Amino acid sequence: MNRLVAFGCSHTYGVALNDCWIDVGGPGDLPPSKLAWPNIMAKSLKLECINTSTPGSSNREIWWRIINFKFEPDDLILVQWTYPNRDCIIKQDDTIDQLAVWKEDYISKFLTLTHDNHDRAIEANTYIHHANILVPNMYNFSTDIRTLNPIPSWQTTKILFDMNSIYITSDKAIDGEHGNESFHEDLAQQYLSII
Amino acid sequence: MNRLITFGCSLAYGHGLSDCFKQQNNEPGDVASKLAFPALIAKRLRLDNFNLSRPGASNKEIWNKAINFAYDATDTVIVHWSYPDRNIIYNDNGTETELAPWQDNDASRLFYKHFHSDIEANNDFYLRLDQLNHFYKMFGIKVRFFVPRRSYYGVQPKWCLGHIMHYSIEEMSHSANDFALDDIHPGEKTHYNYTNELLTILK
Repeated sequence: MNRLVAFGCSHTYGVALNDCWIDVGGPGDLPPSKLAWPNIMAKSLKLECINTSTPGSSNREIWWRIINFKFEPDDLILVQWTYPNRDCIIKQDDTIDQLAVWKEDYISKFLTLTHDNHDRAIEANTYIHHANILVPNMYNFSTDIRTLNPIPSWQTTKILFDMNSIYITSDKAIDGEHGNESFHEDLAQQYLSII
Repeated sequence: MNRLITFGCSLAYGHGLSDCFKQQNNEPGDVASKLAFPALIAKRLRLDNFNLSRPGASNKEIWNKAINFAYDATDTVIVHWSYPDRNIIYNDNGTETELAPWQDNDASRLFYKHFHSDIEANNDFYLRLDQLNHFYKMFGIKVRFFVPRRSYYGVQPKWCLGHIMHYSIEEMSHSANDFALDDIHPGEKTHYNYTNELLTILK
């Protein structure tokens, strides 16, 4: 096994950690943090770290990246599914437009009009289930398992750990929202003990 | 008696057939037609007919009904997908918000103006097709997938293993110039001929 491949959102990217934050209030063009849980795990397991996550990702975006990723047979694959209240548009040229309430007015208005927790949970579970059909050897984690409820009976993928269980009480990074370095250390240790 | 379970839109419901049409407002009848292909197939195969299709249904609605249905191992299933430009939101309170080109609501207007695209609809469809295909395979349930017309859908991605049968009720209807009482949906002769085609693969 040579590579650890991680999928997720800003909590996987390591946004707001010391090496992943610039003054304007975001990671800018900075690459994923070396202090985030995927890199900590890869280092511990002596694997190359491929962190495919993107800040602001939706579960749809994560699903799309997984099903189109060129895996190698011995990859260690981990995915930390995100909050279901996000969405995206996948364009013909394979670029992705993220949709979230903090984006342009018409996007915010559309999401406000159509957002429903129940519907978003159904969609999220669909992406999780289907990604695991195509890539059955993934380790699945969640940012907040409560947001995936109710989990449908056909959803057979097991979420092995919920990030939120340690996130709530964790110290926060520079932005006051994401977990700090010691949170990522703790999360990496949790995931290492599971795999 | 074993069952034939059909999921679909107005094409499988039999909208416009003589027992399924309200002339005064062009609406479908309150129950699925006995002259539509699901009922005809069930009769010929001596199966109980469970036609769960609904006029106006989107592929997401069809998928949602299909994946949550309580199946028996002996069921035969037809998933007759709809048109790719429709969508639906399932709300917490049990209501549904339909997004369709003909819906006169803000959500639909914003959806079609800014968010809907062929590639989006395709990706969404093939995801649901592949997932359902896997689901039926896992439970050993006999299923066949159809679409109104193959050209409405783009190229099937390599990761999607669901097989779409090549029969098209819409093409049959148009080439025979056979339409129902609403002059839009397939007529009775088309449903009859379509039944014969489908029987060759369902027997």
